Amino acid sequence: MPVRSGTRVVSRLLALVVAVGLVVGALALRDRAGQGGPADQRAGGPGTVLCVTELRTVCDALAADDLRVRVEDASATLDALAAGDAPDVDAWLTLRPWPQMARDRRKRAQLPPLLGEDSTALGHSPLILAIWEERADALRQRCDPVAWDCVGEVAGDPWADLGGEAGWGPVKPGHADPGRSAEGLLVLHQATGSRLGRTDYSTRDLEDPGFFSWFAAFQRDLTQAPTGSPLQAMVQFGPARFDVVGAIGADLASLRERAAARTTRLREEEGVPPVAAEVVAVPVGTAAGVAQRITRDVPALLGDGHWEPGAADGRAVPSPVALEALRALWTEVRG
Amino acid sequence: MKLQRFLATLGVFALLVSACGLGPPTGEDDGGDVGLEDPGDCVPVEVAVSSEKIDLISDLARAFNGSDDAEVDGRCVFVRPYSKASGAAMALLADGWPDEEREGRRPVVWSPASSSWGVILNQLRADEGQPPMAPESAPFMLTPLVIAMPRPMAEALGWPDTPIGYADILALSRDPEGWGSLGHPEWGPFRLGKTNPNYSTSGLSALIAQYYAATGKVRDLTTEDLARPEVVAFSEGVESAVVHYGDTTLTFLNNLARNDARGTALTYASAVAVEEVSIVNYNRGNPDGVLEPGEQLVPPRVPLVAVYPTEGTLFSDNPFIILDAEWVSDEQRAAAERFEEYVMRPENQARVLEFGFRPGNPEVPLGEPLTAELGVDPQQPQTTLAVPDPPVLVELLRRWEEQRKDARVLLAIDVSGSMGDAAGATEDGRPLTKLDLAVAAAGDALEQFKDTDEVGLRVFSTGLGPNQDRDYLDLVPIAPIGQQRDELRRRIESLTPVAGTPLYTATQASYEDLLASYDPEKINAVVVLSDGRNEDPRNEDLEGLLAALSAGGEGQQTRPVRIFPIAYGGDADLAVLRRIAEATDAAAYDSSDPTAINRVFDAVISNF
Repeated sequence: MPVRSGTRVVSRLLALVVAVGLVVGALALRDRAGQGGPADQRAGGPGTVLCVTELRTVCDALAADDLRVRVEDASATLDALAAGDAPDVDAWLTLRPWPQMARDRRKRAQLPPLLGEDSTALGHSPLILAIWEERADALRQRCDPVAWDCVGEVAGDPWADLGGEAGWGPVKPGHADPGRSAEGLLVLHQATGSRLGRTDYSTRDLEDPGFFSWFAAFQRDLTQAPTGSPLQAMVQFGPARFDVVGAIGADLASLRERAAARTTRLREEEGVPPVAAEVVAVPVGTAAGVAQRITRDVPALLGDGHWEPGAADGRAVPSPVALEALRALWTEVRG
Repeated sequence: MKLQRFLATLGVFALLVSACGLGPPTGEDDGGDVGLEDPGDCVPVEVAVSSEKIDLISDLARAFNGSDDAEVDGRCVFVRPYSKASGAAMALLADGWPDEEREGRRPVVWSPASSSWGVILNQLRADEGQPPMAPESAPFMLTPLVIAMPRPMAEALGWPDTPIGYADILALSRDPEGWGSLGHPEWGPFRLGKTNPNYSTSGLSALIAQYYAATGKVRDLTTEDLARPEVVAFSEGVESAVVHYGDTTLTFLNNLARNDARGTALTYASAVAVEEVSIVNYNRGNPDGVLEPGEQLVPPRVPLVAVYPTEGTLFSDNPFIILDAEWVSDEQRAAAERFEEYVMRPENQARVLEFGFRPGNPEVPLGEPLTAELGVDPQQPQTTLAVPDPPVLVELLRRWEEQRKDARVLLAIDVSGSMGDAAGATEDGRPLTKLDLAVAAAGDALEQFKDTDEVGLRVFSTGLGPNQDRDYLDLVPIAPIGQQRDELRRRIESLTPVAGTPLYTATQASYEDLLASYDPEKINAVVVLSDGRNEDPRNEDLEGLLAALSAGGEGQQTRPVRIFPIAYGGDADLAVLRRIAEATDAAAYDSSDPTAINRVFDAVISNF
């Protein structure tokens, strides 16, 4: 029967088209899911959180609560995302504005969106300057308040010239590596704001010869940060290694709690202009469950670590554009 | 290329030191394990550590192994520490750790004295197009480089009220009046102890500090700085005050302790560049830091104090490096991380403090034994010196080779009949005698002297000379080696075994000859290589020999002639040779394995 025969052929063709469509659709879904989360989460597993190094302690607590945790520097995550690598995680717990920096970079690279919306701020902490007590007293003769603008000017100068003791050697400021660490780049942002008198600076401000000269000299005379946190090294080595270190305030508070005997002579100066590190969680890919869960759990853990709740009212959180420009400048100066 | 040459030199020297198991009289046993048992079915974690912390890490490993903490993914972990000199381990790692049977197991964790060794390793690998092997790692414990001084001498410089810098000490070391310029002529010239920077982390750190002092800088040292005439003059002046060099600070500390015991502490060395922990150990009465079973702690009569130089100093930061090496499995890495976490716990870091180091974990307060009573001050140092860039380090070491104090050395080689005993074979099976091996080693060692060093060759045996009635013969008189290196080599290569061993007669004669022609501008020394016991019925007076040698020591006069004996082969009388060395404030070297003589010679020559 030609008609029936023809119907059967059409049916088979339709079936084939549907089958191909299903396969293609399945592959597409798998591909999308592959960008969105690890196998165990898709299979109903505990899920994986990618944590910025500065939040290692919080993430250790999350790991104890059956989540998988991976910790890496902000720049590593940023570079991977910008290169089109899809991290095999469900959520990213990091500092603002790194998620937006990642989105912007992927957009510039014409990569599809991967990150969901930022959570509300889960906590924040001011950036501070930790300085040895006797050196703060001496430094204040030249820098009052103790702020990066002035500290950058006297970096590398003999303490004896500033009213300190000759045995203290040169002024040794430090901060984490801005090329790797979120904290380091935030401190650099605060230092830049201190020099320029505002935190909403533009890329043109960074090109100003006067600023560039100060910035380059400051970074040249900066004491190189060893492995890990300069704040930790400051306490490990005593005043021999660093005189003044830029850091997240919560970290200093935690360190004081754990290492009271070796931090009694450390003074804390809130940086000028005030800048804060603000914690957010971001879903990675399509799976939002893990991000929602940590959004619920993390604030309390941050509180345990001396982070303040919610958003950083009154303290600036830098713009993605400013940080990218600053990072580029730092790379240029430091090679 | 300079860096490669430097690394090659450094690595080869360090390798040589470690591989032969030689060491100072204290018995520092580099390369050996510490008696931890077989790991069984557990994940083995080999941990190579520098010698000063082997006891500590071994204690921690014993407590860790078998504990609930020693588990990763349901499998037990077994940590096996062993001692490996930092430079030696670096050289081996750079070479892929080629020979486990000879050099020890390939490490999963490496903890050198200073993270600088990791930087050098990565640089060396980068030069070969290889990825880094030593990731940046956290300090496990710290100890600063300090200048150890007998307390009265430090007080004469104004300690503790007056800050003292390298420049002050090094200026004194160059003052022809010596201690007389500070009203203490009875202490003689200023004598500086510092180790060979090609071997020793302390020596390298001290050399860096010396150049900073010479330039007046505390950072950004450049190769141009090193070439400035006044810097060269400063450094040459400092080197002229050096007692001798050597591969370990323990030689100085042991000699200081022996001098202290006989009341001559102020005449051996005025200042020695050591790690802070060494001062704690010394003042506790344990100068070498190793407490043997039954050993009693005998605090010194004259304690040492730590001078923290005003210019700043360098830290030995003892990183805990989990190697990025192909032989390290993921499981071993996880196991190593477990051990690191264990080691960094406050209760275990308190053990670090007990051993005299500063804990890497700041949660542990600094306290006993880092106290003024034991000569140290945990509030110091107040600043650090920056480690120069690798090219500057290379140039610094190259210049040290030129500027180091000249040596005047008599090589006294035993050619008794037993030196003809078999000791090995060539690759093609030709038998080799002990003398064959010693001749080859001595010949190679000649290359390590600089042209202005003066070297002579003497052989000793009974029945020498045309009438067979001489106990020793001078084959090559002492003269600048640049003029006679080939002649020395040729005469060494022609040595043949003769008869008995007139050890005491030859040693005393060599000593007295050097004393009679003493040159105050040089390190005056005799290297005695002997494979046996004194076999001379005409002279068996060991005590008389020792008395003669001791009488010539710093306690009584200021013409020190050091005797560095090498106990060669299994029949050598190491105990006697050690006493001979100690009588002249030197060190004896153990080459009971004749095939190790080449490397032992290198270590001996490191004193010059």
